[in-house]
Amino acid sequence: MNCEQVSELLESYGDGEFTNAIQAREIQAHLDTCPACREKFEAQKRLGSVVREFAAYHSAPDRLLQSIAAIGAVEPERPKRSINRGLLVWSFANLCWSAAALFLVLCFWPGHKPGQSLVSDLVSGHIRSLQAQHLFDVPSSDRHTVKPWFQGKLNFSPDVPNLASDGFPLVGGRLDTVGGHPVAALVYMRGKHTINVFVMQAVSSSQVSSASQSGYHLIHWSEHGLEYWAVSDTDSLPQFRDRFLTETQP
Amino acid sequence: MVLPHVSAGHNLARCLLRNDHDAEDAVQTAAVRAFQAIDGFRGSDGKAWFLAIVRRSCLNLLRQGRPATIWDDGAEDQLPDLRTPDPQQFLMKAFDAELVNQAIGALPPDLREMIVLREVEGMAYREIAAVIDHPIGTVMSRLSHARRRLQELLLEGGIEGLP
Repeated sequence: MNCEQVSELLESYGDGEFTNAIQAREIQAHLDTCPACREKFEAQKRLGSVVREFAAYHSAPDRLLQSIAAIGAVEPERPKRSINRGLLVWSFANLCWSAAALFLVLCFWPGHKPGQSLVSDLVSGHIRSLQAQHLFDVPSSDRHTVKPWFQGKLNFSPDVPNLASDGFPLVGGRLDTVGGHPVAALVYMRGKHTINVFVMQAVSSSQVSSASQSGYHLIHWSEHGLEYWAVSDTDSLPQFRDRFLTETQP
Repeated sequence: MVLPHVSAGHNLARCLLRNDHDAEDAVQTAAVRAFQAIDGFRGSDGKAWFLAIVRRSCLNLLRQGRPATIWDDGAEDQLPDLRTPDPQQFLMKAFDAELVNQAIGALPPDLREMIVLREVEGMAYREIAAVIDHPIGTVMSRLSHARRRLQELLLEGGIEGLP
């Protein structure tokens, strides 16, 4: 990495927002050898410590804490007290309506409409893994480490082929959630691009085979009753899917 | 759920509104709303959730002209990039509470809250994004802007303050 690339990433690196281990190592290596960038980094850290040391902290005064504690103590009893019969009937009717509405929502979403919300969820899962949170729980390029790691964490076992010879090295795996369901995320690389493969149990077979959103590409396939969604900014996803399928065919 | 974050809420409100009376008012209103909405809260991050409510009630007060501050959420995003202040100069300088609080106070409110949420509260980008209801990318660019601006203000303030 050169100075320009490093200075763009320096803040998130210093803020501990970086779990892309590969990039983090490259930044550290650059800082070790470049005094100008190191100085910039030191200045950034100093700003934080100066603010923490000197900025006045306006804690809530006691009277505010007491009055809020009082609201909290009263509030949970709000819906009860004297309930008349009419209100009861009305509440029951409401409950029925809510249950019916909930039933409809559960029927039609997201299972029968695997469209935008699933795609958005997958893309944000991908971005989250690169940006703020963590890329893997189990960093390993060995499929025999990654596949068993999911055992007992999910009620299914995803295929984890080794695609290094095809230019898609495996770098790890993690647990993630998509649409509120636990999924397996397998992480492969294509050059400098990260590919997240989200594996979930088939809810309903999605007709969508590929999509694009916010500059990210998605490609979908199902196999052995599991749904696979690969998300990345690389254009080689169709090739990736083909190699993945070839490797996992018996 | 609410009580543990009241002080953080008050500090944020105080930094946005710049006076104790309005800050208390905003936090009080926010707490009432939070208790009303608590059944609908499904997330795990109570702090970001409560601070987002506090922030909204601050913005409401500001819109009513209390106190008279002009708030333009994201006005700074359009500004051309500031030059980065000289890190060496920044590392050499001594700071004190007066200078630091003056400099933070001189930041526009949408940058000031970045410094408070990140440097004082130590919140993660995604939590800050939830508080200000903007994407993480906006958090990153605003925070970066806020830091450069604050470094600059700290350096400027120092030159005047020196004997």
